[in-house]
Amino acid sequence: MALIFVGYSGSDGMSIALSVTGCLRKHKLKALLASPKFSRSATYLESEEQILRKARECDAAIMICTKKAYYSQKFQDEVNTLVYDAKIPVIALVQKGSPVMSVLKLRYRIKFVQGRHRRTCKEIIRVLRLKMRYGSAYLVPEGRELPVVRTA
Amino acid sequence: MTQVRQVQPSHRGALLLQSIVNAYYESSIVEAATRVQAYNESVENDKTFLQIGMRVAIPRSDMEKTDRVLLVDEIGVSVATGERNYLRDIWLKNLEVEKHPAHEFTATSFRHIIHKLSSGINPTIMFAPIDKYVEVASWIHAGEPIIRWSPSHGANFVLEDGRELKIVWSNKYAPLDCFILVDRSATHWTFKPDSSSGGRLTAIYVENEKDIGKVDFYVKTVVNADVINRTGVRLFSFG
Repeated sequence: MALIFVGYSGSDGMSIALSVTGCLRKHKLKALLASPKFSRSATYLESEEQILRKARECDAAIMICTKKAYYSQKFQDEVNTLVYDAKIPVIALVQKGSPVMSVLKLRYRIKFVQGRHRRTCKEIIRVLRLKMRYGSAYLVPEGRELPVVRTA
Repeated sequence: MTQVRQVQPSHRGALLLQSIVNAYYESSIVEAATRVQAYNESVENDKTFLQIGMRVAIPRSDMEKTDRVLLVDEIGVSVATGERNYLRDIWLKNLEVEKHPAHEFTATSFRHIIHKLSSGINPTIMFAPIDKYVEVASWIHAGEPIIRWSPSHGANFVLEDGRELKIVWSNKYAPLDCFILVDRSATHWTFKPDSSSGGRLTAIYVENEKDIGKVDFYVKTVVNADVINRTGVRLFSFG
């Protein structure tokens, strides 16, 4: 089962993140969320380094962009680690009116109006599945057919 | 021989292909890790080539949806990841991994080991297993002078003589369990140029033979990698 990192900052961000976690679970994707309200996160809540250690094991990430997140150094560190070091697919879930880190402006963004983030669930799942579908390309001897990947 | 029927893209469809090509060149590490050369049939006709790529079937109407630019670019990244995996496999197949005890994985020892391994060669890039990321990051936080970090270039390892190595971390799609120190002149990367762009990547639309309502993204690079100097690539691990 694919493991998805959910990054956020602040209490507003956390409630959106918990909702995203529910959306992922409903679609049989496992979430990694560092929140005291998320029972499975206890072991890596100890430090930001523990969070980053776990984050690099993920298949993809959803970063929740709220105003608070934009000004959070931890959130910025997580984004930079995931994009530049772990190099996994990163999707930005952007609350309308919130500033977005430049790095995330270059990623796929899903916008939502404050309080209506639940409506983005279907789009999140669709984009995640597309982003994670490819992984590494096939290595095939020259002259053979390349395998076809089918999308929904 | 692979037979594909190319489909000419509309202006908007061409933008999607361009996003794949751009993402490929941004993600590919072969320029940094090898000597890249275009295939010259008259002098190199004994090489065996490999295709790294994929076909992705999409509804024909999706060619017009340019809001997909940031979705399909992942196909280009995927080819670049395939290149990394191919290079890793070539190096692992041809070269020995030097094993060090786990306790030597400290900033000082690590620097000393790299200094020793890099003597006589000119390494410019190091592939590193992501499970060592947190330890290495802690060297940065501790102010060790051996890692230089910038938002645009990521982490560079600084050798004792001041030379810098670009660090490329492994990930879920390009796994690695040892460090690989690379002098790019040690490996020759030969590619067959795309017939229309002359570049390393072919990115076109082709007919989907099974479904007339679909077309396929057909994205590939055709390559051969040769380790021509075994001392120019050093593999090492800890623990």
